[in-house]
Amino acid sequence: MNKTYFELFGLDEKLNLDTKLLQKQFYALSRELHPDFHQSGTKAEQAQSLDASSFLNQAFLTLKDREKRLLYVIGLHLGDITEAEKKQTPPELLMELMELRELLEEHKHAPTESLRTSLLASLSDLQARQKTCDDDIDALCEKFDVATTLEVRKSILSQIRTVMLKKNFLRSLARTIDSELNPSEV
Amino acid sequence: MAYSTKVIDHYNNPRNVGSLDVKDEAVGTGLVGAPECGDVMKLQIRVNEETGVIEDAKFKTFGCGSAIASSSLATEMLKGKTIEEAEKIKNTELVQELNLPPVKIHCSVLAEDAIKAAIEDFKKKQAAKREKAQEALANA
Repeated sequence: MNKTYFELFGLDEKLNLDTKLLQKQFYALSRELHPDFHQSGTKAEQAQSLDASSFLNQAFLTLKDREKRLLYVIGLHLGDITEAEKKQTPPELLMELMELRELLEEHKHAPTESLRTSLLASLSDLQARQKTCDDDIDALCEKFDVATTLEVRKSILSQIRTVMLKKNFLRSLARTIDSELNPSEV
Repeated sequence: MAYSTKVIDHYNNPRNVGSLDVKDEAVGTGLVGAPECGDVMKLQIRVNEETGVIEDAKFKTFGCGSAIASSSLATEMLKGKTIEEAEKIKNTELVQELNLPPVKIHCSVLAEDAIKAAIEDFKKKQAAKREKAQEALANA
């Protein structure tokens, strides 16, 4: 059970995965490990098959989903995110968040057309920047997949983590603005 | 899960909401955020430059009830304290006072970070001011 999810499927540790191959391997291993095929075994064998099966499912669900896969690989190499890392948000970004939330508050109490227009502009700006974050993450993933040393791979993962945190901020702010401006769509 | 009455009280009647002049040399500003929930908290202190006593504290927080209550309570605790005393404020005091449940402890951590950041900002400004004064003296 000490295998990584990648080892379990016999795949190279890559952030961009061939998901068709993953699926194929998953079906093959599922047939092998499925508890239904181990009913005649001893109690211990049955329990083992159940464990292995649920580990396999967990592994598949994690690797199949891109975001979960990234988080898994990051966790594998860098461990859980530290409090210090969480606090590395650039002050300009925080200031911007603050100002937008203030604008939103103003709009809540006294909505005007110009406030709404400027909030909508901010919303599309936030969405565009999330897209930029995604592009940055894509580029870093490609770099990770061809990197040869562990050191380089770790440094790329840590960069990905930073971009993901930033994207989190942008996403939650965009959601807040969106639900305020378009309440019916929530 | 219900909020404690103290949290609700601070949430409904937040103390010291507002802003101080960011550019004022006697004002320290702390701006912190939590990427997981998108909360942002701004906490400011105005310090008497002679005595080192915090004379005013203001906050502005966008976040959950616990984050608002934590920063509201923090500003109350800060007023009248010296910088040295304020540095010793721990998030556990906020947790205790507000009866925060374990899942909301990070809100109090955010408030503690905001206090620290505000103090640090104030100290930085004072150091810059002293440097400027010394330079002026040297050039005189």
